[in-house]
Amino acid sequence: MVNSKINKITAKKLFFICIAMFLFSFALIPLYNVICDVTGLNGNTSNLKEKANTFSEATIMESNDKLNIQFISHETIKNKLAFKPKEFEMTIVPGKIYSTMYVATNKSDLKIIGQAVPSVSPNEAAKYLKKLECFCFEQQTFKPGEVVELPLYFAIDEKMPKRIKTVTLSYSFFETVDVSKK
Amino acid sequence: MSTVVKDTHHEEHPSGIMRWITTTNHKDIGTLYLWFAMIMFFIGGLMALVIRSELFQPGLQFVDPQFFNSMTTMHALVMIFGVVMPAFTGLANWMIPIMIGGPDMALPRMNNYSFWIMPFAFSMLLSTLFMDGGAPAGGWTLYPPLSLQTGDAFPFLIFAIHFMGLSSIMGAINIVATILNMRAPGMTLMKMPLFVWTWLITAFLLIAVMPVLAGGVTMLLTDKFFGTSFFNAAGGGDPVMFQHIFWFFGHPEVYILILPSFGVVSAIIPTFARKPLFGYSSMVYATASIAFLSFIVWAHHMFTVGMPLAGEVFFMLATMLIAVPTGVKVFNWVTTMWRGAMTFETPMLFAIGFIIMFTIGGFSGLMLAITPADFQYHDTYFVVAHFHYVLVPGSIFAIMAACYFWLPKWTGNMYPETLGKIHFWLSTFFVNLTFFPMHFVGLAGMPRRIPDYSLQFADYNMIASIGAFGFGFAQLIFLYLIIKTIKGGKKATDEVWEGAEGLEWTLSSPPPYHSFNTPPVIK
Repeated sequence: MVNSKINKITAKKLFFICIAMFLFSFALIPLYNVICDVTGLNGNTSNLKEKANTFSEATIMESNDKLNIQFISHETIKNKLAFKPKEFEMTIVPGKIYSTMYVATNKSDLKIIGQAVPSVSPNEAAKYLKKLECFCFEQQTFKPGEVVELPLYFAIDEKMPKRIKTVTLSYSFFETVDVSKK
Repeated sequence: MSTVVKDTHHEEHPSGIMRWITTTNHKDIGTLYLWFAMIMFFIGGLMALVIRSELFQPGLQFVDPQFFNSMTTMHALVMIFGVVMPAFTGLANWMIPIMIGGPDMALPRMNNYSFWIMPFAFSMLLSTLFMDGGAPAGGWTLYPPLSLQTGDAFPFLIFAIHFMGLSSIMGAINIVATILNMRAPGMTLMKMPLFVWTWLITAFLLIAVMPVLAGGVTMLLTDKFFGTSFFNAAGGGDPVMFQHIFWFFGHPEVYILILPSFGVVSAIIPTFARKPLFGYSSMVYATASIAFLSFIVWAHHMFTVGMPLAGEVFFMLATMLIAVPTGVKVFNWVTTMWRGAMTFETPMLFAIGFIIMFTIGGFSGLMLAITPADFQYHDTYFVVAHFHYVLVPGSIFAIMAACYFWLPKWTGNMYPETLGKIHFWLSTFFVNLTFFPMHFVGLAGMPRRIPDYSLQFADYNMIASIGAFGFGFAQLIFLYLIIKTIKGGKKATDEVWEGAEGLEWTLSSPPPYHSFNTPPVIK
């Protein structure tokens, strides 16, 4: 057949599109994360440390600039680890640095290793919440019975739209997945 | 099989089962696909009847909730990947080479492989029904983390999907190569029948999105067994991302399931209206625009996951935009019938039924596209009613219309017309009895994929269950009718239908085993 050579070329080209699309499905993951980080969609907050000198305490604040920040936690391994904010709510002014604590209590008799994953609501506020120091930046290890205070230093960027009056910051503590156990 | 003589002109082929296993003939493979779809249609239908039996009355009657959820999941997988897609591929195999005046499919050996992968894929999928932990029960959308809790069935499910995908991709590559390279001289792209056009576009959709599904389910597999965290928040992943990947495949997939039906209806309506299709080129462009738009609307399946306002508005408007090319198609069909000398043989009845009931499904789709309203409709029976209206009296009716339309050509015998009409009217009555009440219970708040419901939904559910059994039994007429027509009946003429146009009607009924070895002359 005269056609069979052309057919094979067409098939190869189409097969190449398939491979490209298969790889594209994996490329969607970094792409998705980049889009979420850039836009602050999905309540993803940056896990990067901010430089302290970005903020100055000298800024004069007007009283109507005050906003509420709420702290919540999700205890994903409730029977093993109690994980709660020390303060549930603070009234703050944008541009100023604040600190608070989360408290973790290892109720089990085993060592717990894991990390806290943050999320911010409303999504729009995510990119204005700046963390100078956070326990969520690194893995935590809790010895059996240990009670640990986990510090958090943060500030809200002054550029945040004024209509946002309440920001909720949530942390979920996940145990590190132990692959070898499976 | 090295002794096979390579001679394209012989009419002989191995007899018995070996004919079907070794065949590279497009007509044989088309027949295999269509019978495969028929068998799966009854298996999937049986699953639907388990669902409807359980929902006949409130409370738990027949099956336990886990098995009920397996039934909804498996019903969807079987009907989508095992019925609608193979049936359309079967029609493509049978008709595309004939319609474009080619001798066979472009890659006949691959054609054989792409069919024979399917029985293995579905044996794997159906075998999960007998496994520890039961068949997949997390919905056909396989959302993690729920789908990751599937028991032993999980790897079988994933590999079955891989194989189905492989089969569809190979089929699609073959169809594109056939359409691009095998046309008879003079058969320009804009002279091709619309069925060929819709399939060309569908095949490109398949090639573009099936690999994305394969990638997504591969990530599920590695998340479950190899410790990756693509969709696991504990490891820095995000379960919502799976939904994005899935629906990036899933939305073009729904057009894969419907575009070939547009082609079938565009072949049938002009035949029985005895007028050429109104607006041929606008039909081609409308199909292409639907295909393009299908890539940018996926997130309308996930309005409630917490997207930013800008995203919700974009996906809402883009979704509504699809109504424009779809409307072009519906109006073109109606205009084709306008002042035509219409007769109402069974294929025409199914085609008109398709237009009316598919449009109902299209309208409920528009309602679902409205983001604020979707927050109420999401995951209710309203959604179930919507996609069953576009898939059952949509895709399935179009497949049946195609079977009635071309059956005399395939077998050389006319089907019994009265029985065909009885089949149509029973199917239409019962399909509406089944799915129309689902709109009401959905709007009233009945959630999908739950084996029990609150008392106020009882009446409508009972009506829907009666409809489902009626529809199921009506399909036995279809099976009987096809077997009867294959075995014999009034001989069909070559043209079969008075107003028929196209190369397939220039061949004898049934057509020779190898057709168009010398290319036909195109007017």
